[in-house]
Amino acid sequence: MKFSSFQKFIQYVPELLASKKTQDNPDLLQNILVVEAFFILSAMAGLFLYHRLVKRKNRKTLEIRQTIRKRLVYYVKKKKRPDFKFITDNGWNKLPLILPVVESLDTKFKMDVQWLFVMDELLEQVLFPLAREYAMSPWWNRRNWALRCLTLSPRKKDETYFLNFLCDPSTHNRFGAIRPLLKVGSAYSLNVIVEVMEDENRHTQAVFLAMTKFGGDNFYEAIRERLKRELDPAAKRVCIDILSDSLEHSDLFLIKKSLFDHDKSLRLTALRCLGKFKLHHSTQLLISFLSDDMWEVRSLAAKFLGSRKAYQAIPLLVTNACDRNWWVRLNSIQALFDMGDSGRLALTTITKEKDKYAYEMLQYVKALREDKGEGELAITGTEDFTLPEEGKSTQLELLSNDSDEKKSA
Amino acid sequence: MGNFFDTFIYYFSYFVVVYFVVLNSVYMILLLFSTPQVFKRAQELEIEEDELFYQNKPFPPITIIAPAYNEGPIVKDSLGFMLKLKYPHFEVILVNDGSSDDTLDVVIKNFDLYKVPPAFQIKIKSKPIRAFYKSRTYPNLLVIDKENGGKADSLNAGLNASQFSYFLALDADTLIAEDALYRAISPMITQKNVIATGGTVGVINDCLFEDGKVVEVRFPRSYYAGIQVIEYIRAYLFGRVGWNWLGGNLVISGAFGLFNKQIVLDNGGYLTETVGEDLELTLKLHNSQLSKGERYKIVSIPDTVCWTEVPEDRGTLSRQRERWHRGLIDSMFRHRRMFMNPKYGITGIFTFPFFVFGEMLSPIIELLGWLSFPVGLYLGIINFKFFFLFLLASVGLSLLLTFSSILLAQVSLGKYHSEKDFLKMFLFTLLENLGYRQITVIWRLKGFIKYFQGNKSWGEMKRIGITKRK
Repeated sequence: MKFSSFQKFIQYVPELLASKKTQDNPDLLQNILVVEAFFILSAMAGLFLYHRLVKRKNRKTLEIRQTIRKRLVYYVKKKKRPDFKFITDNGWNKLPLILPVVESLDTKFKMDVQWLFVMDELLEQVLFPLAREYAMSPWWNRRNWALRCLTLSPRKKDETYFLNFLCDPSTHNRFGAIRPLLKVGSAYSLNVIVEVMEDENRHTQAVFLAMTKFGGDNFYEAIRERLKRELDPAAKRVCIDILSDSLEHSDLFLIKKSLFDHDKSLRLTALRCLGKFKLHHSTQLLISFLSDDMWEVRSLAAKFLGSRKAYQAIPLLVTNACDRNWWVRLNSIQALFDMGDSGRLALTTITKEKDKYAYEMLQYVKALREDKGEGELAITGTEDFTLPEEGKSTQLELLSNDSDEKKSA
Repeated sequence: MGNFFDTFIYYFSYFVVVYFVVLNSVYMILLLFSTPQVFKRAQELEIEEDELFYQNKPFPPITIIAPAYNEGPIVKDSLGFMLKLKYPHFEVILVNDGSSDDTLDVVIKNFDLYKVPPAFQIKIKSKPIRAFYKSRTYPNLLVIDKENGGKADSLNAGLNASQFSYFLALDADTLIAEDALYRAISPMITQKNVIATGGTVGVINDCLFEDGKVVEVRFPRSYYAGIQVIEYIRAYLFGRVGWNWLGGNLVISGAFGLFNKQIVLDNGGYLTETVGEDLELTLKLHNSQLSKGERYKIVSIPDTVCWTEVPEDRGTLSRQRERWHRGLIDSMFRHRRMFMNPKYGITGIFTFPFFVFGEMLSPIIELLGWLSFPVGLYLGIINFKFFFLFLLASVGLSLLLTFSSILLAQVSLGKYHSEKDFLKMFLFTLLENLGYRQITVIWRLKGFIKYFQGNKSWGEMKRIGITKRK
């Protein structure tokens, strides 16, 4: 009895259940059992077979790699002209077989001229043709082998491949493509990096940013050029993020416009970048941001002013210590602490009577700093912090951010 | 009356057959969906195992929150292993949940702790905190001593003190793999909108381990532990990974789960009034993200990120299963509005109902099935040969699913190295169907009864302790 669909099977079930005579016995279940038994036995046999095959394959791979390694070491040590016919003749021309050997030898003979010559020959004659073939594969791990190979010694002519890897669906491949592109990429490719970064999430963007630190002067120049003419806030943000790791004085004028942009994220990115400039002009700008409408801007400005000990900002920081926003209060008081004696003297003006929330924050920051090993932080005019009693966390409740909107209180 | 009974038995048997077919078809689909994912992950691991992969990459910092209740004998070793993890930036928060043994004293003595004032915001309420301790030897260790409030309450206390934007909820008695944090954060780095990652938990009973690392995976000798290995392979490998392509799993195990802290805080943290806080949190995340219409992913990864000691005695195992089932029922009831609700997409229409019928109600259906078939046979409503063949077919299908997942685990991740272990696995898979499955039905039914009695206790858990197994 054959069933073409699930529906037919369902219709058959009552028949199965009701059949009382032995001759009506359900053939279907018998057939299912046979199929099941076949698959169960196949799975069992497959497991044992696979285990043995893998063992054998691993042993063979190891042997092949050892042979290749020995031959390559021979060419390096005896300073002979390499001949890679043995690789193709034995059918060993596969990246997973050769590349690990080359990578390990490259670490071993890094500075050896003969090795560089042997590797170059191997790359040109065997590995690169293979890698270019693998780069077109629909399988992401084969493309990854190709990338690993081409990255060993990036060539200008492979720029297109690297660009493809940069737009690969696999994040691993995208990560891998940045460094070689920074090395051999044209201005066009460097701009593609910015475009790809725009689409990434914040974590992958962070990885991209970290990789861009390996970029040379021409990369940063391309980014500056891009920033000058760019209108899209997302792209501008990426450019400023990249530049913030290699700032030049002239960059301040590049980012200045973004500091007043209508896009909130761009403003904050530019502000973070501004915080890295140690110029007088940038300090003045930061002080002006202490009175900004956006609490994020006020909070960040306070943070940077504290780290650069801008004493001229003290009066405004004291005002911001009584701000309605929790983070602004926190960063303003932190900044005043960072400023040493002058800042701490200013903190004495914050009392419980004057502003309950600013005072509460002062206690919080004090505890936070003592916890970081800054020792006893004596501030004249404020009560000493005491640990909460056993079993009570009332002090902790006080520290809650429920007081955030103090205006409503 | 008799006629009505006959009709009931007849149609119920019909329902059981259809239920069996649908349930196993879903399992088959999950197995098919998990296979490419497991293989891809295995390939990714090959790349990630290369030390160079992690170089120069800014991985986000992580807070490990480990609640501990009466873990005196093992806390020194397990905390030591946590602090030795390979990861550029992490902190460990051990929450002593009002232990009545010497857990806190052991930690104070061995990690050179000193009291510190609290310096963080309270975002979720927890039981009163007695003290905070920092370590002189490990600057990234914070110990919170609080009044007893349960695991969920301890996790909430840890969340308040956590500094970083990702946190890992970890049982203090699990042995975390050295590179587990890299593995767990990997989906968050390489995929978009991942808000939580769950890892696969391995069974450590009888495995060989040294200095916090499992050096040889061995199949346990104990009957109950052996069967649980099979269950864990099946549950984690296709039972969880398979759901990644169907809207995400509904459970991120409490033994190991990495979460985006802000999203968890926005949802009020862990619920303290349940024994299945892990399932409840995952459901809450699904619920809130889907209600807001935000894009998100809850991902399960197939690689083993931590090892746990499973109960070897019947009493402890039954209490554990009963508690798990109580947690499941509780969470399903709490989020019942998701059931068949198109607003929740595939999760509401397919995943949630599957958990209701395939997991929550399964002990009732299975028990009635086991009873109705013999009654039907006795009354002559059901054909004996059909019954016998159906029984064989169901056992066969279960064997097929289990063997396929063992094969998948071995081919992709290659954990076991001895053929003797494979034979044991096959033997235990057979044994699982003869008696064990039927007993678990009883345990889970007890869970039902206790849930409706309002029982919220964890029950006593007897364990030897990972570090004592050396």
